[in-house]
Amino acid sequence: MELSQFIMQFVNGLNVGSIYALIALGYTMVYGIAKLINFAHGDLIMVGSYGVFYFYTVLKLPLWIAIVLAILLCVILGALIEKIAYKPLRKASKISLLITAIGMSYLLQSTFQLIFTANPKVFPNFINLPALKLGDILIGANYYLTFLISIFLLIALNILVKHTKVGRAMRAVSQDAGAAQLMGIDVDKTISITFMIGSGLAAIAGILYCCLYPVVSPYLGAVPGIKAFIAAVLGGIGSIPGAVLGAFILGMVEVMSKAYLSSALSDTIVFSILIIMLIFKPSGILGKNLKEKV
Amino acid sequence: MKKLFKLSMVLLVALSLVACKQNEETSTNVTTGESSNIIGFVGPLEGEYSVYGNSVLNGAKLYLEEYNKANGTNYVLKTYDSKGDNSQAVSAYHKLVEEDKAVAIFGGVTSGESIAIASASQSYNTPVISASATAVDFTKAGKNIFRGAFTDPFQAKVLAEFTFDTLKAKKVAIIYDTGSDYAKGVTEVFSKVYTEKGGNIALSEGYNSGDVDFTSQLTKIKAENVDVLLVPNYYKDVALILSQAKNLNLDVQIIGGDGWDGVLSVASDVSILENAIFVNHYAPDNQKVVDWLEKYKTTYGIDGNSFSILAYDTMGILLEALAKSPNKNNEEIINNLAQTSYDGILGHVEFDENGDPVKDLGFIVIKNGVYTTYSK
Repeated sequence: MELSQFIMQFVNGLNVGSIYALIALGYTMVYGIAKLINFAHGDLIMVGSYGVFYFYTVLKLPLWIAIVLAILLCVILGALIEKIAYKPLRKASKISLLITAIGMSYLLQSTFQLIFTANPKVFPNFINLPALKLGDILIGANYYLTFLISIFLLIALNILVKHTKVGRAMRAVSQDAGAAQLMGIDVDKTISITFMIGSGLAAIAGILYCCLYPVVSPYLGAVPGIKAFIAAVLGGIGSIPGAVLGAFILGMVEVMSKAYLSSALSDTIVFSILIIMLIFKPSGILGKNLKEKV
Repeated sequence: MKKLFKLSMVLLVALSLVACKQNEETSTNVTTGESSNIIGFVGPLEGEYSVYGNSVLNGAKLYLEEYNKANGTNYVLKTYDSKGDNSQAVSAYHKLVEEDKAVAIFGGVTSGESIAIASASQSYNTPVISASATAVDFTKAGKNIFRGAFTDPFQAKVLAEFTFDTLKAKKVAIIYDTGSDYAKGVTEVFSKVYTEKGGNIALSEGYNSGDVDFTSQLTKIKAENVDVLLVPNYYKDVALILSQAKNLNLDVQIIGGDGWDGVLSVASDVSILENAIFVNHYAPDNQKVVDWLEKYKTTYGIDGNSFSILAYDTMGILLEALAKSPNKNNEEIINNLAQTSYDGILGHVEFDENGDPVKDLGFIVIKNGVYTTYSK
């Protein structure tokens, strides 16, 4: 019983970790290329979930169209946010950019509160696959689906960054935007594409998040956004495998401290680990040591 | 130092001006004299809490109009918008007492503003009755304070007795929001009463406000094989907790408090709520309540809720006490309120020595996605 309970908690940890991983991927990509901590990223999760809610539950479109439209909505919104709010500030100080990002986050929250009110909405329940049975341990379809999708996206993203032309441009811009421009890389376009990919990931994360926690509200993105940001920092912000590693560590620590230490103190434990980590290795587990960081 | 002195002087002048103004107002109003038909209403009619304020106002008005028509009286409800702000509520209270000469105050609506009014009312000893304030501290302010809604400790006690005596549960687990006074308060009183009766609280698991993942706590609870799981939180968390409990195949009787009101509206799959039991101000298939809700809907064109029913009954309590007080002075009205024995839509109500109601609660069980009255 003890062992099966531990395995069950381990599965819970993997599950929470995969959600964080999906969100952290977007954070870390945008940071790596634009050197911007995009606080509005968490709110794009919310936009993605409202998208599915609106297209599927309100407009009664077929599920796959609703999901595609929701992802598209986030991609377009992400690109627009970058064009309107961040691009004009590219030469400004990092602090101005950071404040703009926080402002954007609040803008999205209040806009959606105006449209949909603060009353929570029910997210449609559409995953009807059978649960996985391993001995006396039952793993729900939502769980393994989230895990598989986040691993799949991690691999896809890795291939994109390492083996395609766009990916090469991204890496070049992240190393030295000025030099990349001199070599004929369209920096603006590369940053836009990064935002679009990041926002698309946020939409997918939002949809999976709401399949697990089926209540949609305008403030839904705030907490997972912050947690995923911590995961990205823990793993080394800017590093894609780092974000995923950080996310799984965070998810596991959270669940295990709830299970075996104190359920109310889990956040305290998580944040203490972050602080200790930052004292001894400020660049994160897989982060590169650079002289200057925000 | 100089600045501090200047500042205190400015404050002093401002204060004395305010004091003068108040004196003026009271003196001019003494001459206007008799207006013992005015009942003061204070509540949030705009802003974040306006849903509650308007529900309470509608319910109270409905009773008042019916009462005036039936008894040939001319009570007037003088309303002030508190916007949910404590200081606005207090200034509305002062206006009602000093200018409008209200005989009694019906309000506030939220717990915070009600407590503010309650402490402001101590120097005047105005009778104050709130339909909806649930914070324990409200009626502790003085003997002149009463309320229509049951308090959190009261419902926790009733729930604990129900769990032990009716459900015959010997082993209970609790999962509650440690950041919510409501959830914490219910958990504390429930645990105390339940263990005193001889029950066993196997696990009491907290979580942080805003958490959405409860699988870790629920996995632990599952391993304990409890008879009953108490979920004393608000409906949004309840929906999340119950859907995760279902995913984990946690098969126990789940119970909760009045924070569950509206839980069916946020459940993606109503089967997660099947057989869950919670207490509320009324049982949904009570014929009196059904008829009343219909009457409310035809009057206002919107659905009534527990706030409007509570306000309707609470106004009834107040008007009954006023009818028994020919002189309409504070002492008399307060005494008559304290001796209340009233039968309203929500059943029989009396007040204990604090001015808190002792009344029947509705036990609701969810069957096939519908709220139904619980019976053994």
